[in-house]
Amino acid sequence: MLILAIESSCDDTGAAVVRDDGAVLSDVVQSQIALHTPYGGVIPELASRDHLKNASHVVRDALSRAGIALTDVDAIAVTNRPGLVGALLVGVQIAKGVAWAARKPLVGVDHLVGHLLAVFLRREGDAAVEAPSFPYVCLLASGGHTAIYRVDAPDAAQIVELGATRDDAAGEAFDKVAKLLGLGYPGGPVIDRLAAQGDASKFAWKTPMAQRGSLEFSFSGLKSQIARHVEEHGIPSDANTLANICASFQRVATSVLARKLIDAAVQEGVDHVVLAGGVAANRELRARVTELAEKHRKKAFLPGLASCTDNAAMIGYAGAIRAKAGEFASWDLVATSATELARQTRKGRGKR
Amino acid sequence: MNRPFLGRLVALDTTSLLGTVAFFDRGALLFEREQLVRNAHGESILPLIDAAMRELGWEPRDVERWAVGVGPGSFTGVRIGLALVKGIAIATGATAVPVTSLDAVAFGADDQGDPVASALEAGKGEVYLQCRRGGAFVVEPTHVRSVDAAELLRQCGAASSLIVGQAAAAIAAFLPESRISITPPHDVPRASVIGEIALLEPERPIDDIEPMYVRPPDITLPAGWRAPASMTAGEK
Repeated sequence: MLILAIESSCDDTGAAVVRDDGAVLSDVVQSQIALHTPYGGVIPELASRDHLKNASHVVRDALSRAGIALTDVDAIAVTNRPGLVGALLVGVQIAKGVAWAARKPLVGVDHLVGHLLAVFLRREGDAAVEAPSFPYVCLLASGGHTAIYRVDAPDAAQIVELGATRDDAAGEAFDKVAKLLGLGYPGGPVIDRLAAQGDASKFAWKTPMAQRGSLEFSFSGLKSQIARHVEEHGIPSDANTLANICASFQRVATSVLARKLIDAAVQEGVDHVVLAGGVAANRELRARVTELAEKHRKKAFLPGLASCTDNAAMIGYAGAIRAKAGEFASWDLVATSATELARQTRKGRGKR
Repeated sequence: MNRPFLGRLVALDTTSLLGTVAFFDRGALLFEREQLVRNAHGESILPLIDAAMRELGWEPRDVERWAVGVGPGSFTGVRIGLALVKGIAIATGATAVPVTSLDAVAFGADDQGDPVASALEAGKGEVYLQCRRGGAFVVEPTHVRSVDAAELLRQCGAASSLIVGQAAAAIAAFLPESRISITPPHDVPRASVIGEIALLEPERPIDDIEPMYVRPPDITLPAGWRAPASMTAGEK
């Protein structure tokens, strides 16, 4: 089964052609980073406008790079939740137009489910990579979401949130800290790069939600500690101090993410752990998860970077599973900001 | 004047509260469907088209030309209609004709030789405004505070305009020399009119068609935000 997938939930316009075994025939991503960089974050209206400008080129490019015609495709998959509604709507309308006019079935896909299954994608050159078996525990950490899930099957009804952030997403914290330090947007790659040159022991930030037993996260307090430091001392003018702040922030953030992922696997009695989302591209997080997993005799599965960040290929794979199950959408498919995955963690402060 | 298009044409508009579609064959309107949907164009416009196409016995590939309202209007609404047509065109190779909301409400108005001003609600106390005399712009599409629209028309020598569009009355109140026409189809964009215009306009490759937003994006900047050097370069 061949799926043409479209993704426009935030600031990347993506289209991909994917086979139902996870083979990626093409995966085109048109990034909007340059558009949003001057503002230090994603501006929803700008994102929607740019999706419309790029989407038809991106879709044609995906078909062309896969070397197939639209007639060869079995279904059209599209991210219809969660995300920026205006941005989602562009992808959903393009997908509906393509599917309706080509007489192909349409499948709506939850963006988070796509991330949680991205580990099954097989790109050119990594065909020999092993895939996890069900059930597995997955940390999904990105700019908009941070949560740990137990995945019993590739079906939203079989995915359970074990704990999530009470406030900022991990990627959001990287972006905000980078902004505080005058490092620009997006924050993840630049902090990762500077942290590699810094000494994490020079600053002792308090670890958020450090208590054992809880699988919830909080990153706004960590960001606030750095904001207070910058208020008192200004943005460091020397490169060493800047690198040290990045290294110490990243150490705290990645430690808590990695530890709770492994805690979750132990708690659930699950042997396989998986990383997903843009923050999964962080080198220190990948190293920590690998090391901790080995220590606890768990097996870690770390998708390649192209499968961690937002992409349409993961939507295609998740869409293929829905298509095989006959879960097709009608022409009134809506775009919505809410995920279909049940939430366990309540946002905000206070005891639970 | 171009020769009228005689193939099958479907027109649609989702830029106002009205979702509207119309079907043409051999240069003639077959019928028009509309529904008041407010913020639900995304889920309603394709089912509206699909049901009508089934009645006609038309397949999507039978439609050679699509006419689409490109605004100004609701930013999201504009994108819903245009994105749908772009998707359809990817599948069928159909071409399209963009028609602006301001031209749609002015089409066929009895101008009696006067300029025709189109005024549509833009929210935030503003209107989208344009004015043409004999087809040429007197006022190019713009957004202006409602209270300033009359003065703008006066300054441009268009005080005696025929004003069309749902916001016409508020402007005419300050222009005693003007007349208004706000009965359908001169109130909000309608697919039947968009199709009529598109029958006579040259078709365009779908990738070249962009929305007419008129108003810049709404950007709420965080406190303390400063434009980086890259954005202010060249400013004096």
